[in-house]
Amino acid sequence: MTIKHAWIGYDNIFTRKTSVVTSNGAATGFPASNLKNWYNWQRFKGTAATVFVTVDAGAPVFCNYLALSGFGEGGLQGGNLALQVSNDSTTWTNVVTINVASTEGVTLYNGTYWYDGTRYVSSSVVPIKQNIAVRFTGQTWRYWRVRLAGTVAPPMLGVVGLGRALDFPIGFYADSLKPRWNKDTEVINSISERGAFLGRSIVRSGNKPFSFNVEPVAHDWVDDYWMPFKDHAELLPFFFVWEDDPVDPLTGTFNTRDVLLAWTNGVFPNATVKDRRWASVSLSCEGTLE
Amino acid sequence: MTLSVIRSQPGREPYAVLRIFFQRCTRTFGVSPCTGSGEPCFKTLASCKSRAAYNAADAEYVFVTARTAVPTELAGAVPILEDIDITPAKIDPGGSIGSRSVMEATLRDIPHNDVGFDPHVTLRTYDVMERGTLLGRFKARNPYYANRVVVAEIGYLEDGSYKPENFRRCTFFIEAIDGPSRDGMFRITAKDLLKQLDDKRAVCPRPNVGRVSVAFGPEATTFTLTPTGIGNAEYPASGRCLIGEEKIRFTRVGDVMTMVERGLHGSEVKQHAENEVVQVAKRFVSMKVHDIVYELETSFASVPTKYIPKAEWNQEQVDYLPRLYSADVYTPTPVKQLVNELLQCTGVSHWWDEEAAALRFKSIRPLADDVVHSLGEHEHLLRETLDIKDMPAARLTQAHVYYDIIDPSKDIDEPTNYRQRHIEGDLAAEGPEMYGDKRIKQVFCRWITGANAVAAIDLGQKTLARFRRVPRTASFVLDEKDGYLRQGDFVQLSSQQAQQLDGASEPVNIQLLSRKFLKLATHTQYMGTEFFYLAPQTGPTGKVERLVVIAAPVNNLNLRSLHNSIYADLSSDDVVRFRFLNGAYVTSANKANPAIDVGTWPSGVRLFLELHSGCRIVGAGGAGVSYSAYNVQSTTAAQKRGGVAIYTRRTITVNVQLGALLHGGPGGGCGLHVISSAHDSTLRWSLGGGGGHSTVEGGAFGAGGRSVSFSGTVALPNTGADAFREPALDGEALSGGTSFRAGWMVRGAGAESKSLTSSLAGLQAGFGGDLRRFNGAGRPPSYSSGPSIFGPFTTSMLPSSGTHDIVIGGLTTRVRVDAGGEQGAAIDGASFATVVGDLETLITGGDHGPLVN
Repeated sequence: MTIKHAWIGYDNIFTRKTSVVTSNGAATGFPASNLKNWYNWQRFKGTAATVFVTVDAGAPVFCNYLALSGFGEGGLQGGNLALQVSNDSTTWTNVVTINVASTEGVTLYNGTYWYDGTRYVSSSVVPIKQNIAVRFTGQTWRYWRVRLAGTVAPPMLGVVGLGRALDFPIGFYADSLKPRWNKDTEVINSISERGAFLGRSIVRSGNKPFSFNVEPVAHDWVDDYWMPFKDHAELLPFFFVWEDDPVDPLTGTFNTRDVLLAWTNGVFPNATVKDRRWASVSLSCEGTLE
Repeated sequence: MTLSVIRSQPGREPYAVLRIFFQRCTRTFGVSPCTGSGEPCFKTLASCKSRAAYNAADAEYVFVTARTAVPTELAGAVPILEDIDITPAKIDPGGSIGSRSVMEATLRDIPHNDVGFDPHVTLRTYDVMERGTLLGRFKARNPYYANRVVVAEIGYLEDGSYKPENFRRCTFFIEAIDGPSRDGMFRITAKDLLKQLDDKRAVCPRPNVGRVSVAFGPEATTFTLTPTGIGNAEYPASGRCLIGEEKIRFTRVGDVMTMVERGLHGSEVKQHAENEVVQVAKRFVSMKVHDIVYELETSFASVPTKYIPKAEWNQEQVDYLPRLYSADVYTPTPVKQLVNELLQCTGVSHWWDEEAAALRFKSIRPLADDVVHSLGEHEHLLRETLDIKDMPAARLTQAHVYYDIIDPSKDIDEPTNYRQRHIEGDLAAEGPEMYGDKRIKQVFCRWITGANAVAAIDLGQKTLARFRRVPRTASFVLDEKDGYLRQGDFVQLSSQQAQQLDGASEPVNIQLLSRKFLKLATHTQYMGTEFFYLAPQTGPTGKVERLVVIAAPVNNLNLRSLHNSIYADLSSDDVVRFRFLNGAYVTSANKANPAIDVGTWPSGVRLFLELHSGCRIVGAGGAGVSYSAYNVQSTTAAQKRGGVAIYTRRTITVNVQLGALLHGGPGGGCGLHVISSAHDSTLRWSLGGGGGHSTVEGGAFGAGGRSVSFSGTVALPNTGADAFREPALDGEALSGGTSFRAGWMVRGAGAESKSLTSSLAGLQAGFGGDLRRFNGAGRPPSYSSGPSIFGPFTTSMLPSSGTHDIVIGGLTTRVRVDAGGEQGAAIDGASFATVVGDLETLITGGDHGPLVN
């Protein structure tokens, strides 16, 4: 059984050297230029409840995914975020709009459980501060901007991924791990001399390293899509997204649970030839869902 | 949620934050007063292009745990902190400042866009992501990182959020930054504030550069400093200094030093060569120990005052450290050494509390307001971590405290450099039934003066009390739920590793001396030692008294002044007990002053004087009879009266124990003149009494001054030997006398009278006060030493004044005796004094002199 639900977002007009990233106001120490790298901890922070982060690609570019990481919800509850496009930076059109539920309070935890003030409970509501990935119908524009319409405090962004997604031609094999199933959490128990349970600490370290192998893939696919990704991934992080439902690029998806800001772990394996037409690619990586 | 709550929650999520405080210029580049131009600086001193305008302010750089997402509350922080290893300070109670707490932080260097690090990043013409690394650049721009503050915050995320109240903060001072290493790591080593006291960093007194401009000899009283102007620059207007090995008291005007007193501390007055260094001594005179430490650390070791909770120190002093200490430090000495000496001499623990960012100062003392935390095997001690061990090497049977230093510029660990030593011993422990050996600890304390013997006694008792038994050490690990425990805290351990006779668990009292965070905010290892202390000694009044011990000779003792020289902060409900021990010979060389003046005290203070066997409290001797002309006495009764032993106008209780002497100064010796003598019809002499003549009173302990003679016809030399002015033991031969042996009550005797002429050899005794009864009646000593025209006198002749015929060899000499003075008062102020003990049995018949109010 294979599952064809994964995709990668590495192409990013925000981090291109030639792109110009601006905003309608940035807090001191949190300039829009912080979005020109892949550090989700180095954030942009607006100065108003509604902020715009604009990227001028210099020329129209094709994009079909948006991914956000290091997303500080700020006062966005009850507000919305939107991806807007323009070719003149004056007239803007909404491509994606995501309403943020007002119930997503700050006590929500971005793991498998959260503390409601009195107890730890399983969480079925994913908070907005988790990584977000959106697939939308591909479009070509020069100006792209993310609008964050908050209600109270200026929101923050760590990484904005915007570009062309890398889809796999075939699904992954069974036994693959969904990112959200692969949290790297160390548990340290404290047991007394008489055997009593005294306490426990947990150390969260993002996601454990995992690897996958995709085979067979066409030589052309390797040349055209995989190798550019490899060139990127050998230097920089990328978004690895696992969809529970099959991706439909035409209708778009919104994923907040299995969006991994990932980076390769160790040597990037070379693609290997299986026969004159088919090849095998593999990847070992780790990352963070937050 | 607070730290105390969240640390007890299962599932707590440890997190670490490292805050580094460097400096950054507040000026705007290129804008007046900054004159920088061209490529902008990085607003650090190392990159400054206009140093005259550089104006530094603290700038904070934040690094956080690398393996977890950065909470939004810490936006801007750089998640490259790989590890924080903190080894807090280890306390050495009553020994030293202990070992330094050390923090080592490991950070992974990364490419970075310099936002938040380079204030002019937007002006750079290069791509910072492709040029160097974050910390590599950071270190290059901040080379003056030593001693900058770094704060490690260790705590827990709460629902993924950073809340300051869930973190403990540990403050350190950067020692070194190593990196980037081959593995791309930076390692920051920081220590606690007491590193400022290290030998190479701080000395007291500050070294002086002034030198002797021109050589001078032992007779010189002034000299000039060189180079010109150094006097006002470095030297106080008065003080003490060291040249070569000679200690000198001086006053100074400009570069000219006037030597008021030379050869202090028994040093040799010597010739000094040109260019000899003149080093000013630092004097600490009757100061509270915490004030001395405060001055040493803030004035000589650059410890910022904001890290010293002085009010807390003050309270500790008021509660537990009432004594005062003194020392002259002549040579630049490491502050660390001086502080360690003080801690040892006063029994104080001093350490850096990294969580409170404060220097703690606590005496070794019984638990008062301190909480003792009970720790058991079931709910506290982690599995297989407890270790309780004996420390046999630490056991003591004797504590030798050396004090009253002779030469403070010499080796302070040399026993012969001290005048006094107190030995506190546990002889039973040395017996074969117990340990059967001796374990001696020597404590050398330059800070305890000779007058402060009680401090030495107290130190000896406390030292022995702590180590009389074999102390135990304990180490164990606790979960962070019990992580509130810190160094200095007290715990009581209950485990099967310490059992009582019947096998029941024996609670072991432990003072925690160190701790180490084994796993970040999860497990902490503690180490401590068993804590024994000397309970505060209550005196006969049932209160903790202020004891003042006098064990050495001293003149004109003012009890209030003595108290104030060794105790601070007298309060109205205090009890002060003066204990005079064997060897405490207290007197006055001047009849105008009592041997002891009780002095002025606040109302409410209760005063007790304990006179132990062997002590002598005696007033000055009165003036001997003197004659202005033949048979014309020039001394009055008041002049002849002995001095006062104890003067008080304050309620006191005097307890005289068997073998102690308390009496007023003996009256001056009687005078005698020869009316006629069959031996020589020309003799018409008036011989003054011992105890000095009318203007020279008796000496200390009533010893008479030189006898003075007057003759109408024969000029008698007034060249007698000086009076016996020193206390002598009973039956000891007097110095200066010729074949004169004193009786056991020789104190109070008149001095040796000079032989008048060779033909009159034999008149060698002065006429002192009563040798046996102190009644000052002017009775001359009964003695005989060879042919004498007068002697021997017999007690039957005296004490009556009047005319007496002395027949020797059938020839009669008629003499007249003029009565000597009365004995002085033992206690002037009898209505204020309650005298108990053996006074009356020891000195019968009112021999202690009248009690004059």
